[in-house]
Amino acid sequence: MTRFSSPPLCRIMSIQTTLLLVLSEGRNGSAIRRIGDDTTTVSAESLLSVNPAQQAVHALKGKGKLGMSLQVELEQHRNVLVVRLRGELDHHTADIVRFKMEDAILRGRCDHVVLSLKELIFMDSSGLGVILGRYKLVKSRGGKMVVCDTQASVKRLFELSGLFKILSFYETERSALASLEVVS
Amino acid sequence: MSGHNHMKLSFASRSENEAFARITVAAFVTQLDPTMEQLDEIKTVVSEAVTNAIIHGYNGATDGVVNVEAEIDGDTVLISISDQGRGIEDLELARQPLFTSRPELERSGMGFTIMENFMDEFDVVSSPTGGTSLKMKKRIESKKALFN
Repeated sequence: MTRFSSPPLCRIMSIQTTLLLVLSEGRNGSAIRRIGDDTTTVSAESLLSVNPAQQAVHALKGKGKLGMSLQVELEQHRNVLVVRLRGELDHHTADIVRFKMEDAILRGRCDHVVLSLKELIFMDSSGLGVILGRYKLVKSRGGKMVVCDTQASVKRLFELSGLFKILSFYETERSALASLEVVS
Repeated sequence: MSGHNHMKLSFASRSENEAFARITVAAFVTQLDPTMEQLDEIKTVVSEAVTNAIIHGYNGATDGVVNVEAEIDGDTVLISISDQGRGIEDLELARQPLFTSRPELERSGMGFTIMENFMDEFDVVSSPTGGTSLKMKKRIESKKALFN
């Protein structure tokens, strides 16, 4: 039997350093495409084509009906995908975020992602994992992912994990979008 | 509030129950009149521990049992979360920030770090076949006390 007790030591500095090292392998510099000048609003459903991700999302939606505690809203502004999360992001709800975002990003109609978290009232380390995974995906395709409108408790987790250092944070969706239009 | 109170939950190792567990414990702790921040910390910690039991203890199998106990002793809350699944092989490694034994599941490896940071005391006992038991303690300074 192993046993471990710990004093409440905060090791944020080392965490951040490690995280930066972990993430620094991303690829930069790919060409960024511009897809038309119109701002299109698409529902999550219409972003899904007939593919395994679609089936997975439908299966998850069925599963989530009893206690769906997270809603994902996707909206596209030019080449930027705006993802609004409402509710609680944990291990149970992380899959739906993963599939919906992955599907929208991989269909290739967006280069950058704005994660809008105004109505995300709870997040734990499973949420950090799914966000980190999508960040790596967007970055590997030469895009940028920014976060906006976070509540205090969610922001605190970003700070604790060091994600605060690698993602840009904005007060509003408008300022987050504005920052990306400069990029593209 | 002072005195002693306790509760006990036992539920299936299903991911749906992560929200159930954290909300129930948070509801129990409200009698100490915590701040929103303290309540968020407790919810997060319970969520981390229950998720660990489900993912790592039972490897996603839904026929395991997760036990959650909470106890109020004066102004302190004690939370115990245990499973009878597979234990943690290397505790020192498990608590390293960003370490995860399941990278394929996109785990952030931050669970232990969060629990250690959000609670005043944190204790883990684990054996390869006997499951894992976490015991955590947090003192809740009530809002009333802060305002007086």
